[in-house]
Amino acid sequence: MLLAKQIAGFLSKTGKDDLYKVEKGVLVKVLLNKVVNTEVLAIGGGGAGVTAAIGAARKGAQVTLVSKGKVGNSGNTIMIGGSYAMDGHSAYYKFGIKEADKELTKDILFNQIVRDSFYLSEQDIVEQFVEESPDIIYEVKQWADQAGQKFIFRKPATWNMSGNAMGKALQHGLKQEDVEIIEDVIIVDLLKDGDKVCGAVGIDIYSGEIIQFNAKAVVMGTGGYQPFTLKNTNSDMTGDGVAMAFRAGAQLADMEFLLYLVTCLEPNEVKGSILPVFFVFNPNFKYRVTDANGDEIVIPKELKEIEVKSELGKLIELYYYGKCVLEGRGTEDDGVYFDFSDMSEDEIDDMFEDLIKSFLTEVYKDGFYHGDDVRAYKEFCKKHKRVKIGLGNEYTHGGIVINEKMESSIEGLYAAGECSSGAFGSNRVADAVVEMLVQGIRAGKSAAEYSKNKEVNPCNKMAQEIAKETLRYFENKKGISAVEANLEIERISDKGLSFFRTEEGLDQAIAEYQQLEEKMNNMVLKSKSRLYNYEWIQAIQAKNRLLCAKLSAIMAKERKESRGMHLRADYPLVDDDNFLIRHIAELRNGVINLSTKKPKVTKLEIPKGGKTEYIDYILNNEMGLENISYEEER
Amino acid sequence: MKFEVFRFNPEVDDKPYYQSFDLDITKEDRFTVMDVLNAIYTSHDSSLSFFSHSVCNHGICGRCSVKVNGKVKLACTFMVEEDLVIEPRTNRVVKDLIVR
Ligand SMILES: Cc1cc2nc3c(=O)[nH]c(=O)nc-3n(C[C@H](O)[C@H](O)[C@H](O)COP(=O)(O)OP(=O)(O)OC[C@H]3O[C@@H](n4cnc5c(N)ncnc54)[C@H](O)[C@@H]3O)c2cc1C
Ligand code: FES
Repeated sequence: MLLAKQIAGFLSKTGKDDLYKVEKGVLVKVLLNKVVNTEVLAIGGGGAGVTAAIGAARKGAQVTLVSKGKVGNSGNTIMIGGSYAMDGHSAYYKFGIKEADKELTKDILFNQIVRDSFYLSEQDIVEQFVEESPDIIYEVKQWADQAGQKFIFRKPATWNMSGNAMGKALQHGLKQEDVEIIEDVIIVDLLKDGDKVCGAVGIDIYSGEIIQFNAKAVVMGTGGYQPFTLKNTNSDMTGDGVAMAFRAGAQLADMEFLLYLVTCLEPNEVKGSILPVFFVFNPNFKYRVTDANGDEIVIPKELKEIEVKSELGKLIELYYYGKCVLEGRGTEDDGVYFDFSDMSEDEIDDMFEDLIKSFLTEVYKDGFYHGDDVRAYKEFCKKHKRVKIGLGNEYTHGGIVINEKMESSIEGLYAAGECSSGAFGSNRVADAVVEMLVQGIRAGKSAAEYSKNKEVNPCNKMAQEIAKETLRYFENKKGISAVEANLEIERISDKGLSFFRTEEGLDQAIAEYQQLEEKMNNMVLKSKSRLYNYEWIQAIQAKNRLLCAKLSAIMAKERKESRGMHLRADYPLVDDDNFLIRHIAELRNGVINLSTKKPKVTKLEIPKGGKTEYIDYILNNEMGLENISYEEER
Repeated sequence: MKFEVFRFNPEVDDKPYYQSFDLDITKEDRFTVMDVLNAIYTSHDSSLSFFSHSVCNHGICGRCSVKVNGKVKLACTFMVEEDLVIEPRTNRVVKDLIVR
């Protein structure tokens, strides 16, 4: 007893009394360093989390917003490289924007989202998107104005802006509400009281302290996941929220649909930039796309026309460039070339300067796209006459199953933004930025309403268990490192889960993920210090990333057809007879349970399709929301 | 190229020290300081702390800054052309290159 007290006294002097305490005369490790009590806990500092916090606060709830990064300066929200839009009719009539194209009505937008999804959208979620989005879009635009951020209007009713400006606008909106903000804390798992979610446990990344959050309702706004080597996303994107919701018993869906986008592979300093997107739709930008041998990859004219008018172009590029890589004609890092060899240096100069002047300087400082030096890139293109372009995984359609109120399948848990699923089915053409805002604000309101008059029982025992599990990494003696685990996830995903999938490749990926999962039970850390120990954070993230990638491969294997952003080399047809369904995964007694669900139809009947060639399907189904704002100058 | 990196873990070190890492890269590899730190972390010493969570890697978030040869620069956009000394941005060090 005395000894324990003496040790405690010594620890207090050395400033380590937060790690140990005396309990019944024995010195025990303190597992939880801090407790936060709230009503609505919003997780995620991107657009979904911020608007959820605002929505809940406006309904009178006590709100805490916790984020792995800084609020309004983290997640894919700050990576935004383009725009967001509302229907032109609302812009014109409701907000008096005279330049807006009033012919683009809510009905047209609704129909287009559903068609572009290959009819896998949940139509009640799309209705919520279309009906409720104009207000929040306009409000965010006003926050941007007040915060001195540039949001530039273009037809039909689109605003171009940078992710940085969007983040600043969100921070401005949040400042006006009474919300407790906790940053640089990674949530590791949800707390449950019986069947109800009642909080979460997180780690302060800087101090290593473990925090228990008690809440009546939780809104997940943690964004997507990205399992590949090539990254155009923020390093936050490890699927934490999706994975922890799954562990807590929530249903996930559509995990097989990963969206790809043209992304720089070189020069090294801009690797991961999505700058080439601007080459695609800028009418003055000329290039030929070639394979590694210099042979042109030809996209048929009808599709080329869609590519420059609609973000459906992403899917067309995936199909044609992906096919080139599949046939072994791609670069060694699975890319293609944008070739300028039939142009003079002056022509290349003019083309880049036009892009900089007519588009990029609207939003970025002269010569830059975000912080990347476009003129240095131009010099590289002039010198080499061609530049390698890859397909980077920008967005995940899949995630937590929600309804139109953003309720998940378990009580007390809500989800919004990229970590949810259902709005865009197998292929998103409308804005993910709108998804995060319109779902965030609704999720916050729903969570606040639910939490009224609810009592919570603090789940102390479960919090202790999670904390103990989280700290277990420090005790592991032998095993693989988090660095190795992540490299292995990327290797398996690049090989088996990438653009064109096969039964054999997916079987192998699933088997390899499973072997890796076992090895990852004993990840080791080099530093035993909890202070900004990224290896520790990475170990926790790797488990989530692996779980998401594995579920993605499992659903991709089930889907023996090609649809939207899921392409199968061995099942090239769109098969409406058998696959107008969503795949759902759920954990039951520790085992992954798979089922299917038909998407809800509210307005647009699903056509009886049969089996169709993929490209014919695109051409014959009135696809391609026209949302690229350069068109007017063509 | 050679990189002298500031190290300090207040839990175990009495005072800061510099650790030297040799990487087999040239100017033509067009590495950024972030690439260098990642290469050290991945292949040499995973106990090195530098800004790694919430990384945009394209000069957007402004959170990755370190002192490069005495001047504060964004690690993710600063191009490496010679041997460098890499230090924390301020003296409020949490660990290694991480400051509060
Ligand atoms: C390069 C790029 C460009 C894009 N451009 C566009 C565009 O022009 N238009 C468009 O519509 N869409 C675009 N998108 C997609 C869009 O940006 C995202 O889908 C959207 O921002 C997601 O918002 P979100 O709030 O759901 O998630 P995010 O913005 O990703 O935010 C997630 C938040 O959760 C936090 N978080 C994650 N895990 C945890 C955890 N365990 N604990 C606590 N917090 C956690 C993160 O720190 C972050 O704050 C782009 C995406 C990329 C990658
Ligand atoms: S990581 Fe964001 S600015 Fe460098």
